[in-house]
Amino acid sequence: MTEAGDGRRPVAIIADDEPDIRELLAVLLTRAGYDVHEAADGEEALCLAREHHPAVAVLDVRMPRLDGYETTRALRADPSTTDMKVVILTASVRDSERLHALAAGADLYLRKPFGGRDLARRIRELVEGG
Amino acid sequence: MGTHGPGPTPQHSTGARARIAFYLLSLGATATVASLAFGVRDSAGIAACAGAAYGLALLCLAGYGRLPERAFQAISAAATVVVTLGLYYGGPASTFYQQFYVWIALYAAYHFRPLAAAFQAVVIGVAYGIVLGFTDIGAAAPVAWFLTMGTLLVAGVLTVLLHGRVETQLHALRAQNELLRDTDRLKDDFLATVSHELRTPLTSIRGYLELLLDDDPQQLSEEQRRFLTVIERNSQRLLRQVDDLLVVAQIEAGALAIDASPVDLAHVVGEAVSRHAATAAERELELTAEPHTVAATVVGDSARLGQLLDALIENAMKFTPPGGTVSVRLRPLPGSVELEVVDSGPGIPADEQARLFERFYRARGVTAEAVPGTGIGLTIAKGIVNGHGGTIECISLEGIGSTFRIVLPTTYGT
Repeated sequence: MTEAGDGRRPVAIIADDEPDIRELLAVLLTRAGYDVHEAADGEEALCLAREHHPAVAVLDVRMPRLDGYETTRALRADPSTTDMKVVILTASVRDSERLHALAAGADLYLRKPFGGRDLARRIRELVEGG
Repeated sequence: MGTHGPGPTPQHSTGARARIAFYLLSLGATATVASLAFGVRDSAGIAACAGAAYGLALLCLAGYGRLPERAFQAISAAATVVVTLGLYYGGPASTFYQQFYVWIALYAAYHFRPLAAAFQAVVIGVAYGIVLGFTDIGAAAPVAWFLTMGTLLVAGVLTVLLHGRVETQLHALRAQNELLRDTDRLKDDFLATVSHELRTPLTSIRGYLELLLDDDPQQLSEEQRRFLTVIERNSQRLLRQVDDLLVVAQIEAGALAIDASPVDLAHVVGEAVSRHAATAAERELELTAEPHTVAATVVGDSARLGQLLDALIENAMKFTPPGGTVSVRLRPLPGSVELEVVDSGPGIPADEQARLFERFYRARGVTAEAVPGTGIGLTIAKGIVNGHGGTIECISLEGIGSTFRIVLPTTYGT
């Protein structure tokens, strides 16, 4: 299904500690035309981001070691990753989380469960919109 | 004493300033007359008595007003000096003021905390001791002298004892406060955890279902596709229940956020009606939004108002038998908008009407076609309406139908 590393496909990083959701996101973004790299926590996501210079990172909020907000702040603080798009995903219904996400520097905040088509469309709009 | 009238806010209107001036003048006059009546004849004595009276007035202001404790201490120190000098120059006659002074000073200090009153008692006691050493007041007015010193002694001991009790109570209160804060935090954490634990598996279920249903149609048999659609519909229903319960939990925790912006209610109504059009047709109900010509804009949370309409329309459809009608009406009122959801159902018996908005209350008389609910739709509706500063009521006549009437202020929170 994946044809990673051909150099033309934009790179996406996904970080979620739930393997099932990680795979779901990987399938969705691969189908949407991305070269996908998976991380199980924020630390891993940071390493992958520095290595692959992705167009977009999709981060879960609740992750061990480094959560989605901290990872977003770290990405924004690093000049090599500061310009990439960051999407925060959360299963929480607390309204304050949206503000936290935007304050941390995220470009988009989406709630779980998300519609697969909707997620892919919004990420495409975000990346293509510059 | 004439000091209660103006109270602690002498800084405002001219009326208040004039009143204070009047009180101060009357205070001086009263003090002068009183000192003459008590046999003070020399001008120094009269001045001292008036000074003592002003000292008392200041002390009252300081004690009853919401002054910071440091300011109170400064004023009370000045008042002690003034009253002590008054005692010294005024002689036995000024013991009249002295008695007042002791009580007011102790009360005012106690107003802050018992230890301040004990400290006050010691300061006054020392000041009087000095005056007694230099004058013959002790011999001239022994009863007053004895009363003053006795009062100080008893007050000092009592306040020190009370201080211990108050500190213990304060300690208990602080611990209780901390516990309440912990409980609030726990409630919030619990809500976040429950939300996460329920919605995460639903994300996988619905996500993979969507992948399967999106796949090449040839790979699935017609029957498999139908089964998957059933799973999809039920996972949607489960998600809706979870979200409803979480909204109720947020309402209960007082944490329902209202993301306020101008909302065109007519638009929200139109969308809600079209969301339920398919279900209405399925159950042979006529669901309509009555036409309106005037704009009905309120400041509110459009997503929450949509939820409100969902809850009301679903509720109405649940109790209206096939062939009936459910209509949504909007009417702008001065400063508010009235929203009505009217059904031609069997109506709600009077004994049930009072319990409608209770959590998990499920009314009898649900139609056979309706999917049974959890009884939280109207709780959610009420929570959202309250969150917008509005009111909700139910008018129902058995055999005729029910109307849920909501009045939302147009300018919430402004």
